[in-house]
Amino acid sequence: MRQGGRPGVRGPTTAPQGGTIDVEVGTNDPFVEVSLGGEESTRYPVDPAKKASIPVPPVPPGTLVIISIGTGLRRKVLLVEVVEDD
Amino acid sequence: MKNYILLFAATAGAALAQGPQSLVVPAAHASSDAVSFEWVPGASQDVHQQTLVGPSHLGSIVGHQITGLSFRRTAANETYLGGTANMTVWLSTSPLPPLECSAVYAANVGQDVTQVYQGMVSIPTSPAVVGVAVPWTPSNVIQIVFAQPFVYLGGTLCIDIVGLTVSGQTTDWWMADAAYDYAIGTAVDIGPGCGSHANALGQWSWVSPHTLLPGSTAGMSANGPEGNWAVAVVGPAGPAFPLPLLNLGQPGCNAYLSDILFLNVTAFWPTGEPLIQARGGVATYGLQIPNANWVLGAQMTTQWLDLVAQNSSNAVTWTVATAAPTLDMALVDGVASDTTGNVSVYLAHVLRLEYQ
Repeated sequence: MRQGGRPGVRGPTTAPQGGTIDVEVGTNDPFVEVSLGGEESTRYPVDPAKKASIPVPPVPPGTLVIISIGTGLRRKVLLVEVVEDD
Repeated sequence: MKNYILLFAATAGAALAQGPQSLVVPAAHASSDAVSFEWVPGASQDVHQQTLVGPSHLGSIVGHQITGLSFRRTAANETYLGGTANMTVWLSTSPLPPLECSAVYAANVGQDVTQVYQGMVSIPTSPAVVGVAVPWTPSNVIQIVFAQPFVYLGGTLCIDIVGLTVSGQTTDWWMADAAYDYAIGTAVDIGPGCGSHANALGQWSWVSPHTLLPGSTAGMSANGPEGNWAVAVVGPAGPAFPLPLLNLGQPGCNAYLSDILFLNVTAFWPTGEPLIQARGGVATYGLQIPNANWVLGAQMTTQWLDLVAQNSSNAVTWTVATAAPTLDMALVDGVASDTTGNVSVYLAHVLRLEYQ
């Protein structure tokens, strides 16, 4: 699977509906924050192996899931496109 | 007097004859891979990292000169491509123990601060390493040989590194081994929040379980409309109480505290990230937890109020870890141009110190 990301965080560029997005975090941030571009967001913990597993939200294919870590100048964003499950 | 001079000469001679030695912190990972990893300053981005190393790790090098340090790659079935980083390293005796590590870099630096290195550091291309043991071989190690030694006289050692990228020499994913302390608190929602920022679970505020340790700072945060005033309220949990009865909230907004012990007014500060602008700004509050046994297992509840929109957050009951952490190290990780970083007292690099 193609990897995307910014320095310090990486994950897939696409994720299937109903699947999971596995993100690796190189910084010491304890969680990743997930939003769909609206006002709501959800946080998922980074485990001791520096991975966070994010269930793909129930959204149509083509939707971008915005995964961010850190705050302020430390913020990094990873975009993952939801695709149809084959 | 003559005898003392002879004794000193003999001791100094023995030390010189002994040559450089090394000490790995934490010692448990001297040869075995630790569970976590951390990035390296300057390898892929301009990064400022401070590591505080408690005296429990350093007893054997009191009075010795620290002459260098090394990072070791983490075990992974992946080749790490090499590069070069431009690093500046300072050592000092921190005024703070690791558990009380500050997010403000300057607060962790001791008065005896010494710049021990400034220059290019080679990052080797490192073939995949799997299994429990990762040797300190050149292809697994980023080594910094100090130009100026630092005499360690005891206390908490502050290793302060600013790493800048070198154009054309960056490496996107070179992860160094890092130790992890499993002591952790818990954070459980006891009531949902109200307002448009509440997610499907009614959440727009959080407490970081990793910060719920004796001597640490409990980290609380909330998302809300950028620029709105926010207040964090901490106290014992209580039954749901409708806030409109106090003219303090929208219909459907409840308080879940029976008393107020701590209160902090701040704002939802903008993140500056257009992709998540609708999500709003972030308000944070840190509450110092005493470094004492009686706090083990202690419980509090935190709730936020958006003072402008009159919305209350989900209430989070948090419990301090039931066991004290043993890592005795801390890491502050941030961007090189900032004055503050993110503190972790449960996660820090595995480091090898060279000394003589």
